[in-house]
Order: sequence, then C-alpha cells, then structure tokens
Amino acid sequence: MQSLQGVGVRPAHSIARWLIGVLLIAATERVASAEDVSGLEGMLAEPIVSSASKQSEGASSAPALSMSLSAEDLRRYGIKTLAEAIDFLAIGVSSSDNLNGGEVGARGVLLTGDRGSHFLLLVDGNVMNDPLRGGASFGVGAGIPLELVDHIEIVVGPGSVLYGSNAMLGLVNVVTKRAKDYSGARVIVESSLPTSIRTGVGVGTPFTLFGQDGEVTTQLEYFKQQGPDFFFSAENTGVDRFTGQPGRNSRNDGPTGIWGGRTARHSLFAEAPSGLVRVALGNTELHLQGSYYKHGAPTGPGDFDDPATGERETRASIGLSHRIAVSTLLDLSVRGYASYYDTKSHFIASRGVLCPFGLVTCDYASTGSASWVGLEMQSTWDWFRDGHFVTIVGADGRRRGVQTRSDTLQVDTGTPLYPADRGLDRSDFTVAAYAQQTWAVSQFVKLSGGARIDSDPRFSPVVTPRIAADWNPWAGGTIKLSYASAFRAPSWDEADNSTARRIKADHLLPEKVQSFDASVQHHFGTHRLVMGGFYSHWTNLVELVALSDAEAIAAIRNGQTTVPFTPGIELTQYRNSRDFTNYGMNMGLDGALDSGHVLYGLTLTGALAKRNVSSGTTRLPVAPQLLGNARLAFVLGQDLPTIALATHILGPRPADLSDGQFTPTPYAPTQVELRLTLSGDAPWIKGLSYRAMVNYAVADRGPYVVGPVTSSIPSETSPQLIPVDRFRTTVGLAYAF
Amino acid sequence: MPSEPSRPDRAERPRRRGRALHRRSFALTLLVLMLPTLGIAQSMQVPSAVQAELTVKVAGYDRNFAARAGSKAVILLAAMPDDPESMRAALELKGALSRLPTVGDLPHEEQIVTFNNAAGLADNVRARKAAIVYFGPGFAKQIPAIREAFSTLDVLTVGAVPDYVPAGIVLGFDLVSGRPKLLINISQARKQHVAFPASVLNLMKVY
Repeated sequence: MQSLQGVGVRPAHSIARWLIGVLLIAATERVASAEDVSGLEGMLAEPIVSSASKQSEGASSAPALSMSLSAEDLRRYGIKTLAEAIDFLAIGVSSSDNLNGGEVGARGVLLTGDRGSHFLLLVDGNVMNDPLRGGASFGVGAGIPLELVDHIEIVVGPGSVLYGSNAMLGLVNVVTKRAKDYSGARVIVESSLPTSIRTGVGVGTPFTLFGQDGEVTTQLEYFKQQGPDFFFSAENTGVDRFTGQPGRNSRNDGPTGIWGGRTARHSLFAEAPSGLVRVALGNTELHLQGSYYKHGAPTGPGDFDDPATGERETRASIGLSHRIAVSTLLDLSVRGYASYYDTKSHFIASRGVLCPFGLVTCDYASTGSASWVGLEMQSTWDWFRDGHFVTIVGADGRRRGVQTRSDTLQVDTGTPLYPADRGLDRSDFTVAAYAQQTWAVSQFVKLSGGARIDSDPRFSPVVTPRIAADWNPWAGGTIKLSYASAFRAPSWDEADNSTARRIKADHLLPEKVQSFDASVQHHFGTHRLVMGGFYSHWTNLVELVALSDAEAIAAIRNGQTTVPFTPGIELTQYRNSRDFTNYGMNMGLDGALDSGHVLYGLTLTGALAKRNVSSGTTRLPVAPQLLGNARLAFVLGQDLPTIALATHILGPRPADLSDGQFTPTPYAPTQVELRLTLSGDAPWIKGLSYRAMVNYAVADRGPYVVGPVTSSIPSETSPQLIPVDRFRTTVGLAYAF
Repeated sequence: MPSEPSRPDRAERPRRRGRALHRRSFALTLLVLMLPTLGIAQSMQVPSAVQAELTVKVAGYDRNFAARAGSKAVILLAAMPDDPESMRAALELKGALSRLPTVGDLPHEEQIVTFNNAAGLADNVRARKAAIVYFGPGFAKQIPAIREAFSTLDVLTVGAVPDYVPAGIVLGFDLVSGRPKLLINISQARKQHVAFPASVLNLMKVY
C-alpha cells in the first residue's frame, strides 16, 4: 500500500514543474504584448456566478469557492455527463464510478451509498434532488442534455444558507442556454463504441406573445447502454447456512457455491430517455424536466449476471418563476415548483442466506414514489439603490408526500413469499425562511452574512448560518474568509421506511457540517490562480449499519421485520453513527495563451477525512485524499479541429467495505484517466460538427467490493474489487439546421 | 410461507387513495403553475459592477475618447421614467462607477437623466458634452430612434441589454457560457466616432 501512495504523490511534482513553466510563459507573453489587452481579456475570462449568493457577481467575489464550467469546455474536453465535468474540470470535487450511476464527493469526503444526496443539484435554480431519498444523479441518469447547457456553476462547501437541505458538500447549478445561443434546430448522435448510443433533437427559438418577448429552448434525448462485458473472478460463497449445501448464485444453476467465474454479459445496462424545456416570457420563466432511468450492474451480492436485478427511476419536475421590479428599492420574485419521483427496483437472489424459502429464487421488489409541491417567495432590498448594501429575505413552503412498498416475491411466479412490509404512506409540510445581507464596504472589501431556518415535523428546526468576507489587497488579488454550515434532513426512506431486510430507523437526526474556508486568488491577464484551505466538522452522519446477530434476533422478536429468522441473517438499519473531521488544501490555475488559441487548467486537492473509531481514526472509504485534474487544448481555428487533452487523478482509496471486513484493508489503486478529444465544425457540410474522444484509465480496479463475499470467509479471504472500463472510444456528430 | 391475501388488499386501499390524491394535487399544481403570467421588461445579463469595470476599461481603448471627454469624462445614465428596473440599473451603475477612480485615465462624473425622447437626449448629450451614454433595461423600443438621433454625435453609447447592440447601440454586454462578452455595432461606432484597435475588436462580437 505504501508504494501505491507513493505513486499518488509523484504526479504532484510533475504538475508543480508544469505550473512553473506555464507561469513563465504567461509572464513572457505579457511583457511581449505590444498592445496590452490582457487586462481586458482577464476581465472577460472572469466567470459570472449567481448560485453562491443568489446575486449575480464575479466568481472571485462570491462568498464561497465558486467556479463556472463553460459549454465550450464541456465540448472541447469531450464531456458527456455532469460527473465527467466534475472530474475533468472542477476543483476539489470528484466522482467515483460504481457502474450504476456513480457517486460524487468533494474535498476528501465521499459518502458511499448516499445516491448523491450530499450535493444539491439544480437546473436553472430548480432542485433536481429526488423527493424520496434526496438523491441526485450526476451520470446519464441526470437527464440533462449537455448540448443545452450554457454553463455549470459549482459551489464547493456547505451551502444550506440559501438552499436548505442537501447542500453539505456543495451545490451544482446547471444553467441552460438561452435561445440566442441555441437557435434553430439540431440533431445529435453520439456513441461510445460499441456499448452505448445517445441521440437527441433540440430546438431554440424566440417568439412574441401578448406583446412580450419570449423564447423557448428544448432538447429531448435517448440514451442506451449495454455493457461493457466484464469478467468477474469466481467467488466461492461456501456452504449455505440455510440449506447446508453450497449456495445457489443463479436461478438456473444448481448449488455450485460459485458466484462469477465468467463474463457478465446481460446485467450491465442503462436506458435513459429524457427531456428538458425552458420557456421564458418577459420576466416569467417556465422550466420542465423529465427523465426515465433504467439501470443495472453485475456487482451486487445477489444472483450473478441476472438482468432482472436493477432499478427504474422516473423523475418529473416543473418550476415557474416570476420576478417583479416593484421599485428601485425592492425586487420581488416568486417561484412555484413541483417534483415527482418514482422508483422500482428488483434484487434477484437464490442463495439461502438471502432467500431462506427453500430451493426458490427471491425477487426483492421495492417501489417508492414521492412528490412535493412548493412555493418560494423572495424579496431583494437594495437599501441605497446602488447595489452596495442589499438584503435578501425569502421563505419557502413545501408539501411532501411519499409512498413505498417492499415485497418479497417468488421470481418465477410473482407470488409473495411472505407478507409485504407496510411501507410508507405519509405526507407533511415543511417551511423555511432565510435572510442574507451583503455589504460592499468599499471597492476592496465585501462582507456577506446570512442564515436559514428549516422546520421539518420530524425533528427540531435547523439553523444554518454563513458569514464571509473578501478583500482585494492588491490589483487582481482577492483574499476570502468564510464560515458556513449545512445540513441534510434524513430522507423519508432513511427515517421512516423499512424493507424486508432493513428495519425502521429510531429517531434519526439531521446531518450537519460546519466549515471554515480561507483562500487567496490572483488573476493576471487571462490567468487565474486560487489557493485555499478548509476545515470541516461533520456530525450525526446517517449510515446504513448491519445489525449484530443479537440485534437481528431482537428485531425479529419485536416485529420490526417479517423476515423469519435464519442463522446468519443480514439485517440493516439507518443510524446516526459518525462524526468526523475533514481538512485540507486545494489549488487551481487556469488561463489562456496565444490570444486564446492555447487553453490550460489544472487543479489539485489534498484532503483528509478522519472518523473516530474504537481503535483510533480511520479514513472514509471510497473517498480520495488526493484528487486533481489537468487539461490543455489547442484551438487551431477556422476549419481545423480543436485538440484537447484532459486528465484527472484520484489517489489510492480504501474500498467501500473497509471497516474490518477484510484484512488487510482493500484499496483501489491510484486512478489516472486520460482523454484525448478532437472537436470542430466539419469543413465540408455547413452546420455539421463533430467530436471524437479516446479515453484511457490506468488502473483496472475501483474502490467497490463486488459479489457476495462482503467479508472474509474461510473460502474467500480477500475481496474482488469493481472492474474499470479502461479504454473507450466515443464519436459524435451534431447537425444544426 | 403462505400469503395473506386479505391483508395486502386492506393495506392497499388507503395507499391507492393516497396515491390518487397526490397525483391529483400534482396535476392541479401543474395546471396552476402553467397559467399564463404577464412579464415585464427584459433584464440585463451582466451585473452592474462588472459592466462598470468593463465600460471603464473599454473606453480607455477608444482612440477618440480623450479628445471627446476633455478634462473630465461625463457619463450620462439614461433611465426610463416609471420603470423601476431601468432606474435601478442607472443607480447601480452610478454607484459602481463612483467606486472606480478614473475612466480612460480621466476623472469622471455621472449624471442620471430621465429619458423623454431620443432627440431630447441627444440635445442633452451635446449640451453636457457627455463622453458616454448608458442605457439600462427598458429601452428596447426606443433604440431605433436613439440610433438615428445619435448618428451625428461624438459619443460612446453603452447598452445593458444584448439586444440593443444589433439595433444600434455601439457597445453592449452579454453573458455567454457564464462569462461576460462584449458586443459592438461597428457601423454605428464609426458614425459616432468610436474607434477601437483591432486587438480589442478581436475580443468582441461584432455586428
């Protein structure tokens, strides 16, 4: 393991040398320029963000580490999903591919199994986290057509002060294009050969209605993936404690006791039709989004390569906002919104320890649907009418409803093997209020402070404050200090639901995080450098905990589950079980050379997240301590392609089951992913554009234990880690009418 | 394990009623949300503070700016009467400009003027020897008249709304991929004796 960590450090030296080289080139370029427009170029390169404070402002003066990923960069570097945008372009944030939608973390914290619920995902300010679990998808299941994306704002660090629950690691706001940047019609076809294909059609057009200027932009797309086919080593599950025979790991095979040992050809798949529509009329904006995401992966502990194991998720959301400039003092905005989410999952298992009903195969079928409707009103008070002392006061009311059901069925007949759990059928009402004050004390100093209170009938009100200051002590330089907090309300599923193998939680509390951040930023010409440090403390983290044998027996006796007792039965429960600290540093440098013909960027983050255990402290599983990315693009112009090389690195990471299940602790090696992209307009057909990507991953294993051996047993003492799709070529064409 | 047919049925009934209620309330909300709502004027894309910094920076590249401005750069900030958004944009820009020491290396003075008609504003520009005239939101329908009235003036017109530039304002701001973008109406610039070097024009979207 030491050697792996050593490998993880080595690239930092290379990056430092490269960084010095770029700085020297940048300095030389500046001196050599005859007519210095570098200052103007720098101003035009400064991203404008609005997510951190709900006010439009330069990224360097936002009250949190904010960045904006441009549509050009998404295309230039061959980005296909939000997760890839985060990996290749963002600072301090990374995703982790579990072959089933992926997971996202930030600054050394990645909470595996959280379904993205520690990030708040917005599209044009509308929340995309689902109403059932608070989860957010950053992969193909997000249902966000990237051609329609104008830019992606990422705010790293706690952000509940204006947004409430879920913004613990940060928030991602996808801003879609206006009709002027997406005019006409287009068709898109892109394929990662030969495993997936994505097709899309989009339209953008202005219109006039009731004497008002309006516009509509929309893109519908369809994604389908089958494979790649991975080989899984055989795992000997030993003698089944229920049957006394070797375990069955397939509904058709006999009791072989062997899982895997062959290539999985049927169970890694995804299908995702989606659509997004934005209509604007004057100061009124309507946003509609819908997606369906069917996906499965051959990585779970159930039957090997069974295509029926998987999940189908349906999402729909609508937001209608209207802004009124009441006077020079007061702006009012109102936003009505609704969101619907539905999930159906199947888990197929034949092994007696998972399906204790004789020689049958179980289908654990879970369904859940949830919705919310809400109204948010916000007032903005510009007290001196010049934007230097502005108060925002807002309130948000939301009605939520949720239904769940969990059945254990015989897979062949669909008949119940025992009575279904009652599931949930609940509704409630939450309210929140927030206020924020910004004060531009002078041209050089800006202060910001605010707090939000969220009331949820399931627990006491939560207050999440934030204070921030930024100071420009020298030309082009900004020093930022901030304290921010955030929380995540346990989802209905975590707090009140139970399934056949999971008993209901006992009074879960909301997770909380507090963070102190400091950063120095400097821009010189088109080059921007940011360096910062942070310290965070997390409390009441919600975890799915495996019950001990004694606890499982007690749960069965108390009627907390209808599952009959079998030796070795595995039951779980969500609990507030962990506090941990997280601290580290990050840096980023990006810019342009040669009048924008050469673009570069790099980021590097080193972070520690330590949780206390009885034997001392341990690392969070799956979360990397070292992460970063680097990119370089040559914009050749005219009919020539843009050539871009991007890479991202994740340091060695403990696997998801690294809490004593295996000795030694399983680690995923350092992962370096390289991507070469060629993109441009086809010279021979007007309106036709293309991009082609070649992707290569250095490591062949990721940080997830796959298969039924989830702890050391006599027949299998070491785990099998998830395989990585190491080499993939993607080609895409788009035609604009 | 035998199933219990009566139990799931009893449990299912209220659940179905609950689902139906949620579907109805969801559909009703969609309907209410989709009722047409009248909007008001188009708002600007780039924040005032950034517009002010860009205006100051770009004006410095105008080869005729120093001659036009004389010893002090007078900047008129036009606002539409009875349009709070337009007036606020003028006030915000005045505040933002007041925090910047110079415009094109010259001291500067900002004045907010209420717009009555294009000819009147042109007279005002002549009388005050304004070097820059800024138009916030709310001027979309007046831009053609302003273009005509200003065609014989020596002044840099600046628009907060991107659509103003192709219609006849010399310099404007847009937000593209989250970055500010400069827009220029090159023929109107020539008419108003605004001349930027090629290196600056290369950074602009030219109409």
